[in-house]
Amino acid sequence: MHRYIWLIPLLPLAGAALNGLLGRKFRFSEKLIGGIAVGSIALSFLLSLTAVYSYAFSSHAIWPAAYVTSQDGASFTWIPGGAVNITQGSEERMSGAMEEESRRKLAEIPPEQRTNPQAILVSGVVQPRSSILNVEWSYQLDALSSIFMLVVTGVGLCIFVFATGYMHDDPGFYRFFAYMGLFMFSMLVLVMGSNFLMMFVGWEGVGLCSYLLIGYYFNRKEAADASRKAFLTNRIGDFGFALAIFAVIATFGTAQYTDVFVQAKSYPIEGLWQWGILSWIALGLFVGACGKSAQLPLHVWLPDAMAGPTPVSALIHAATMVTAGLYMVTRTNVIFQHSKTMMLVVALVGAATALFAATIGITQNDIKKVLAYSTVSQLGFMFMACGVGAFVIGIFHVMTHAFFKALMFLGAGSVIHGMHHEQDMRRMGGLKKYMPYTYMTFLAGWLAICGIIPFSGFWSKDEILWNAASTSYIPLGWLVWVVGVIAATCTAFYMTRLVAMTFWGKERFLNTHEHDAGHEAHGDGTSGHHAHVPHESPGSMVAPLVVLAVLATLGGLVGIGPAFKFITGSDHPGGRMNIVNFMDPIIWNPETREFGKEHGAATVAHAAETTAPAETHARAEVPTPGSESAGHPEGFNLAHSAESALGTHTRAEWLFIVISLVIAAVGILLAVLFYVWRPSLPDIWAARLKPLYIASYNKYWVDEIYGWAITRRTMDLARAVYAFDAKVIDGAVNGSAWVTRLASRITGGTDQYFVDGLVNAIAAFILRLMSPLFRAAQTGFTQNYALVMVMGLVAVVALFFAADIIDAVKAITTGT
Amino acid sequence: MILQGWEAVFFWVFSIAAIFAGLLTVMARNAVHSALFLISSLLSVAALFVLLGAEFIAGVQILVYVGGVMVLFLFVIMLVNVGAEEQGRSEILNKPRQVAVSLGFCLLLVGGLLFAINTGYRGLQKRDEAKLSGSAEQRLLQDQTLARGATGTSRITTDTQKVGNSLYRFASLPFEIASILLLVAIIGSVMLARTLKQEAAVDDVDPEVLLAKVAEEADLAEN
Amino acid sequence: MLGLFAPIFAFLIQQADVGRGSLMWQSARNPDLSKFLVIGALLFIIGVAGVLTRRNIIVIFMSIELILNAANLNFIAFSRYLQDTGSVNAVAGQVFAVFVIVVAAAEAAIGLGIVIALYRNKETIWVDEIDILKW
Repeated sequence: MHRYIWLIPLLPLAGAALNGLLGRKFRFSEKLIGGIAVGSIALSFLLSLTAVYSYAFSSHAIWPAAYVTSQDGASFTWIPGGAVNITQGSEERMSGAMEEESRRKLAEIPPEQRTNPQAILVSGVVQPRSSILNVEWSYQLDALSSIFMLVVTGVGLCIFVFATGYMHDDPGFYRFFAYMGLFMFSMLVLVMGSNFLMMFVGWEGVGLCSYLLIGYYFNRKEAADASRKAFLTNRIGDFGFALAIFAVIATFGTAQYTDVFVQAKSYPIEGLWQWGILSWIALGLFVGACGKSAQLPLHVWLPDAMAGPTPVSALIHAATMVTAGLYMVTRTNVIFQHSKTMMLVVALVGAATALFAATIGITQNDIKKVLAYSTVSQLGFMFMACGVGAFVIGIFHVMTHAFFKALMFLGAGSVIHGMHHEQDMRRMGGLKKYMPYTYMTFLAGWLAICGIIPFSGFWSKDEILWNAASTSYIPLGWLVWVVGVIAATCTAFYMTRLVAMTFWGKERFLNTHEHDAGHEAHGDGTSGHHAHVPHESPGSMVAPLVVLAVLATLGGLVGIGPAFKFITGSDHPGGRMNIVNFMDPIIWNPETREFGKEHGAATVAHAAETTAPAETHARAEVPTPGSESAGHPEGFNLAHSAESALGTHTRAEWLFIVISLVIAAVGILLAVLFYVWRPSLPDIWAARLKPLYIASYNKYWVDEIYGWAITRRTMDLARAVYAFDAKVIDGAVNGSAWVTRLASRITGGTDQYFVDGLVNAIAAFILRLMSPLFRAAQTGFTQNYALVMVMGLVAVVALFFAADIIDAVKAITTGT
Repeated sequence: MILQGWEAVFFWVFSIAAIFAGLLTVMARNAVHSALFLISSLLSVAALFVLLGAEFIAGVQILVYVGGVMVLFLFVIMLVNVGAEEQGRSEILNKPRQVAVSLGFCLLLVGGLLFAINTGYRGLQKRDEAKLSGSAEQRLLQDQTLARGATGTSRITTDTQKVGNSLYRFASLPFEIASILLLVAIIGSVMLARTLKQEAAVDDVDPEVLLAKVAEEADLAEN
Repeated sequence: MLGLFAPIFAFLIQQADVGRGSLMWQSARNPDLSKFLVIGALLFIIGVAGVLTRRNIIVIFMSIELILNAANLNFIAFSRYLQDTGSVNAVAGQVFAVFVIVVAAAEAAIGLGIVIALYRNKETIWVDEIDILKW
């Protein structure tokens, strides 16, 4: 079935096209639009499931090798580079010199490195693939894209179903689902493309859809502003990404992942503060990732992006699009791992973002804003994982986060729906009585994000912290760990605060006030704000919540860590079903300089099936502590210290598990204390820590700083340019116009009295003389004119061969 | 490029046929006869194309010209009334003065062209002597490398493939432009040939109103 | 101009007047590029003569087709010649011929559309009766 993966992105596109192009004209009913959208996504999801099954788990599985559709000829050359070579040097090709040359070049490339065994046949000449840039449109199926495909289509399906309920009665129903379908298409192209340029297409596509969907309520100023902000902020990141792609093409001569990574493998590893080409490429890529995944300092757009409809926030700005940065970093992990500097930068930026956003989340009152900052913070966690070398764990967290954050966003959407578009948590409270299903499912998400065992968030977050503490990839692992622990505590705190303010406590929605503009106007925007009693959402909204709640609860079990060996019997139980084993073949190992963490990919596959022997160390904590080689950065390593203090490796791991559980508990208990037991405490502490509170409440004034430093300066520049234009350029133009007018008066006078007189006299004379002649020539019969043409032709021939004709005349007259 | 044996015979047959058919095209009194002679001339030229090794163009010539364009001509001839000419009531040629001058200049032109071909070709032969020597043998050799057809006697030519390659590699933009030209021609001819009634139907105008308007405009134009 | 062309005919007659076994006869038995060019030129002239002398606009159109065909014959003949001299992109002539055919088809479609429109308005297909070019 994996041969049909090209259908997976195409189906949502077709659905989007149907809805978007025909939906308005033919006034599709909501049922039809929803049916088309949900149906196309559901088909996509089913296809993804079967494709991944057939790729990795069936009897003829290709895993761990990657599958690219062009292997079966199911691709086309999207950017043919051949034309360059064809127009140049066609003479050489004719003489066969080029053919010789290309044969020789092709022979130099070892057969195993040729992606296309037949190389390329351009006009009968064999050319080595690397000599020209040929970009094909083909899809790649491997461990990474499998996971993303499943998450994108699976979570996407839940959210689409939810949206059919949430967007009910919206006048732009068809538009919404067209955008969403287009988004699914772009996202799938992003994660399934087999080269950097396809990733870029998807990248820009999701950016466009994000822009369209944030500004879905385009009649509201803040939504329009937010969409522009998101778009412009992303441009900065995309600029870096584009530069990185150019650098990749310039360096490796191709954009195909497989080709690039095979070549990159043999590059030397660049140490700390060494800036080789791979570091620069990694920097560019990371700038792109920062923009898309809302990392410091480009995080400003994501909280504002919550101006879009809530399903959009759930799908695009929590579960899928914002994790594209993670996808890219993991996809290019070979390049990142070649640069120690960039690994450190990634880890530090991730940690900083995690803490920064978590502290802001504590003080926000808009339910979606809290979730938005939580998303930024969790994305920071993921980058932290990538930075310390645990790419698999980063993707694991992407997955679990997609489950629980989508769940919480949809839960929030359900609350907003039930509260008639009220988003301020201060006007909620006690909702568990009114919305039992939403409440129960929300609890699952809450426990997952806080990191309570055995909910999914626990497994991934714990692994991230453990890897940060035990990393030997970068120095300062302990600092990353400390920051991560603080951020995790804050996370538990603000999430509990959210749950407490929304679902527990007094019912505050009955005492209505004048509303500020912080709510989501819905379509008409004129709904009166009376004191509504909240109601549970319809089945189409609750069902996805239940599905996602199950996933958020159990989804983490695919990545149970080595600490639980005493129960599961192996480091990473489940063989290929375990995400760590499954993802292993795409992660590059700097020790062996091959793909696959510890062994070659093939042996991993083997080991994973025949339960790994007990003495093999976990692959997730790379490399094993004892085998620390001299090449790795020295410095304080928390996990190693703990290990040497406690004796065994497992004990050290358990210490960290207990720590992370304790901090989660501390965060939860503090929040319960503040918002349930002693509701007066928050105000007291806000007053006591006033500067901190204000800073956090105002999001550290980042927007204001950007506004002052960038927006204002740009406007100043624009004003200066305008002034220059108005004063200097317009002045010059006006001045020259004045001079011209003066000159024209003078010449006009001369013309009128002197030249015209002369002309009139002469012209009249000539006309009177010649006009009968011309009149006679104008017969009006087409064929007369044609005859004149032929006469001209005869004259041309005669003139052209005049010399030859004279020669012939001479020859005849002289009689030879 | 020298034709030999039966090729030469066919060359003369078809070229004389082409010229005679062309002459008859121009001279026939009945336009339908003209068209039929033109078809025969075009077919003869297509045969010359085959002799020149341009099978693809020959095929296109027959399909497009004979099958398409000439049918169009016949339709138009049937649409317009040409009875007067057929029955000899009307002169088929222009005014005698025009005809005489035309024919005189045509004669001059053909003389000039033949002279040019004669002298020019000798120069060309001299220039390409080296390249041309043995070209016939080379062509024969090349033909030997071609794949055999199913019957085993003939060979499958790669001429069409070459034309396609050349068309898309060197002339892909003109090719696209040509397609747009054809589109414009289709639209243009549809627009030109439709009747007042059809025009009215498209514009949702009542035909009577339109007729009245046209009459009004004609009045205005005359006044 | 007539004076210029008179010697040409003399020259041509002289060239033809050299009997069997001569170069002329040889090249008639083995036609080469020049023969094709001659045929092309004759077809061209016939077409031109038709355009200039006929009154029926449809026949004039057919004569134009004849002219275009003569041009095509030249293109193809030279294409073959270039193939024999081993030139780069020798089939360019055939490509040109394709375009000529395209243009001819477009021209026929538009031209006949004009003929029909004309006939509908002026009730005539005689060119000498269509003289509104002269105002």
